[in-house]
Amino acid sequence: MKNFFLLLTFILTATLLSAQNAQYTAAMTKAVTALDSAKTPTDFQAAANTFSRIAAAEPAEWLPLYYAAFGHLNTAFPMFEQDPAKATLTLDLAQASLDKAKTLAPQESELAVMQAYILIGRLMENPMAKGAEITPQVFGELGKAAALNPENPRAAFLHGTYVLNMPAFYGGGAANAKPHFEKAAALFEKESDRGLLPHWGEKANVYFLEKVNQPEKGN
Amino acid sequence: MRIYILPALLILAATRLPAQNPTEPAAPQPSTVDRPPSTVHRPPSTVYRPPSTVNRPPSTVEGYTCSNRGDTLIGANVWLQGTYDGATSGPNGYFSFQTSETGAQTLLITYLGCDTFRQVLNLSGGTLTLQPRLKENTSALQEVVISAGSFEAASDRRRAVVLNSIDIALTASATADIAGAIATLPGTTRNGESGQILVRGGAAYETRTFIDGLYVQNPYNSSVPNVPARNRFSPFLFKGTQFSTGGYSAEYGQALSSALILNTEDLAPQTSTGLSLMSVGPGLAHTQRWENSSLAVSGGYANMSPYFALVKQNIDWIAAPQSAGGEVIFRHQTPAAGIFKVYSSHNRSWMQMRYPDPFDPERTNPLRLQGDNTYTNVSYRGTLKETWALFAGGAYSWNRDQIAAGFVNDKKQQSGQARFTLARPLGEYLKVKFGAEYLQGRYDEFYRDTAGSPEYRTLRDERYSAGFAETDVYFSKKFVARLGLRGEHSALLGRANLAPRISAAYVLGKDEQIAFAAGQFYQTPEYDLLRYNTDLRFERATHYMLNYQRIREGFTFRVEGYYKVYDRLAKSTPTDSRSTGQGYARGLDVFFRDRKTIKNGDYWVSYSFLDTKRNYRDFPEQAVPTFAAAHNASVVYKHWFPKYNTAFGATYAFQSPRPYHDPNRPGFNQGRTPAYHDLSVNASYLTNLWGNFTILYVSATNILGLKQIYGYQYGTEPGPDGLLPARAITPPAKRFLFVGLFINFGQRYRVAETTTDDI
Repeated sequence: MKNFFLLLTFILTATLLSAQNAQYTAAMTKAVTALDSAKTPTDFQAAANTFSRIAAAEPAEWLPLYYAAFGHLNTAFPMFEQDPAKATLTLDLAQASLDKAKTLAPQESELAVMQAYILIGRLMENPMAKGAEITPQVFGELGKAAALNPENPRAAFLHGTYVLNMPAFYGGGAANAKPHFEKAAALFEKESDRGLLPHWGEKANVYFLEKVNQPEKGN
Repeated sequence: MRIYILPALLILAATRLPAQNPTEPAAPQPSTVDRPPSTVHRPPSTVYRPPSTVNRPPSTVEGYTCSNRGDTLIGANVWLQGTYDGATSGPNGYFSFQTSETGAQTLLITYLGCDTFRQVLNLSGGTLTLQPRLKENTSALQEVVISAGSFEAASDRRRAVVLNSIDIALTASATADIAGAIATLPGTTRNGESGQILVRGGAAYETRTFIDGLYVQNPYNSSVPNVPARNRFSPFLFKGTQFSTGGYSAEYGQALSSALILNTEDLAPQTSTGLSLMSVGPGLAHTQRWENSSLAVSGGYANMSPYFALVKQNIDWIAAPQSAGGEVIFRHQTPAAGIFKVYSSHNRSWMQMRYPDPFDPERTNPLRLQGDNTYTNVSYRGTLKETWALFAGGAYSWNRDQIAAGFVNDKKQQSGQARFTLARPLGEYLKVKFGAEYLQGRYDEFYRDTAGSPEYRTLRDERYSAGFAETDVYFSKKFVARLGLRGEHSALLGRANLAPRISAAYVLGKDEQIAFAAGQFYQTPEYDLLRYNTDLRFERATHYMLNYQRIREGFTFRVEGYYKVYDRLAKSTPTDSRSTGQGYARGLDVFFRDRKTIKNGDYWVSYSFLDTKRNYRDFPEQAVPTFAAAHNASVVYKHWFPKYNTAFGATYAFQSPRPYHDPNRPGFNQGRTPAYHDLSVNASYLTNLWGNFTILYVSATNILGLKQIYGYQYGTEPGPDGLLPARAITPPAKRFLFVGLFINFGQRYRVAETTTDDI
């Protein structure tokens, strides 16, 4: 009898769990679809909020936290022009989400990419003053991302965009960025359907690759 | 007040709840029209009902989010705790979402800069309309910052950056000297003969330098009168420079006029090696970075003789100034987000010259100076039990200046100090900070006029202790006040003091605020005044200031008026000192900086008006001191030419005539120098040298070659005309030219290369 109850509990829990899983997958699918078509800061803010809600309900999942960080980050970027103080605080939110995600999946390559991305956001606060401090950190995180998963195209892509925007005397510019975009293109090519996993960057990579291949527009 | 609003809203929401339920099933309402049939078909209607309860009738939650100040909140995250159900508030703050949850559920709303809003809802289908008001929290998005008297030249994220280390390095006329760049800010008076920072009618000794909260005994290189000194510390050591022109926090003491608070950089970002080849000498630095620590070691040697051989000097040098020194900087980050810092520097400088003798134009006296200095600063900054911000540190300074010029003067000064501060927020509207410090110092001076004449020795030991407490009170997001009290005791004087300080700031509107500060500031008289007796009182200054500032992205404008009263200043005769001196200073400082209007251009304009008189030291009467000028103005311009990777800078400085004492005429400090003008330029070219990031830096002061006179010195023997001979005090040379090549063998290229190899 005792065993029966145990079994019953087990079955019930399993059903509940799978139901929850289905619910999670459904919510994530909807949210990721919305994020994929997000264009305005409002869209990204809404996406960040949705993922934060899912993350709050699913404390063991790193993916919603990752996307929440991504949403906050994209909300923050266009804010620097008008309200740098708020942009900085929004980046703090992105960092807080990412920090939680890192405790759940410390070896996840995508989280290192996101960390590099947030650092690039920090650079916006004062590029002249912060460049020397942040640049090695960005490269450090991207190096870590590539080490954890050499197939991660987003690490190479972000590396390319960073090098492209760096002054030439610092080792930047189109010519130096090109190999990174090419590497990213090859990796994007290899990347199979990622489903809910991070899959951004391919279109932008095509755009930048075209840009660096036009020498007159090069820099 | 706010506390009452929330329950009231809750009650409102709760009373609405039942009221709306009947309206929601409005759809079944028509069925009442068909009442007869429905009663006839009773079984089906009961059949319909149960599924709706089993499937949980979806409830709609909607409303408008706004802050307790009435601002609409757009982009707030609204959801039911533990579920995915929620929405983001749109324009007008409107949100709406459906949920299949029933019963008591907690609604959460989060928004940047507000406290999380919580409300328990009772869900049982239907639409629930809410009017949530989120309380703005004072800590997250602090609008109001105490600004009176303080120039934040920092990278502090929430405050306006006035000047950062790159600004200092690129300010023409400063030649990468902190004091030189500070001299372009309002409230300062240029003092070319000493190179030191003078603030609002205060003498050089009234400005104190603090590194990571710890007092710096000798911030300037050793020098002799009328040969300008430089600040010992490179601007690149510091991430933040807070320059206070008065009314500063009770945390700092022993400075009558001004505190220059320098906060050092944290962990070095990367392993790198730097080589500098300058017209004054070479320097080498290596930085090693580990995961949580970094160590930087640097050394340099400077010799002015090659330069002096090329450019004519007004001073007759026997041995041009030379110096050799080294620095060690260690940083360690502790797991609990604390940082442990060690900074240590050692330096020796020496020079020998023929110092002109005004008694006799044919004669010069040989003068030799050797200065030795050691400074070590150790500190820890972290948290204590996660609620207290802790700072603890100690510093040791040792300095010896030996001057031989017929007379012999050997001055040794040392001090050891320890200090701690603890700070924490108390709720949302209150922050408290307190701390204590202890300093033990020794001043040991030897003097002998000529060989065989009597020897004088002054030995003074000081044991100084101080404690302070201050609190920031946020009356609202717009209004903050800081109340502080500092108590000090000097064993050398055998006296204690208690200094109250108050400052407040009020936000007038977006980007603009006014601030006020007042307080008392005490300083122990300088050691050389304690030669004959130590029965002196602390010198005292009382400050009052009112400030208006407007900061918009790219623009900073501020204007500050002040009034300062001095009393108990040390008065001295050749054999005695008494605390009977007094004086005043009042004026107006204006600052405008624009980084936006000119693309790749950045300029600031500062103007200071000063009206001051004092009777102190050997003054026979109240008079304008020689270091005070009524008008000081600077225009600093910087331009970046991206195409040429070159930054160009120019600074124009103006100072109205300064007083000097002319003993050939009746009165005291009655002479006036000509007005001072200076135009300085610099350029930095950024490039790669053998694949290493390199900066070529050139600068020149006074490019127009204008005659600059700081004052006059008079002899004691009248000349043939019956007048005492005068000699103008001028810069050591008309211009100062500087060329430097800074090569940085950074790891950055190695990183870039390895990743290229990967491809």
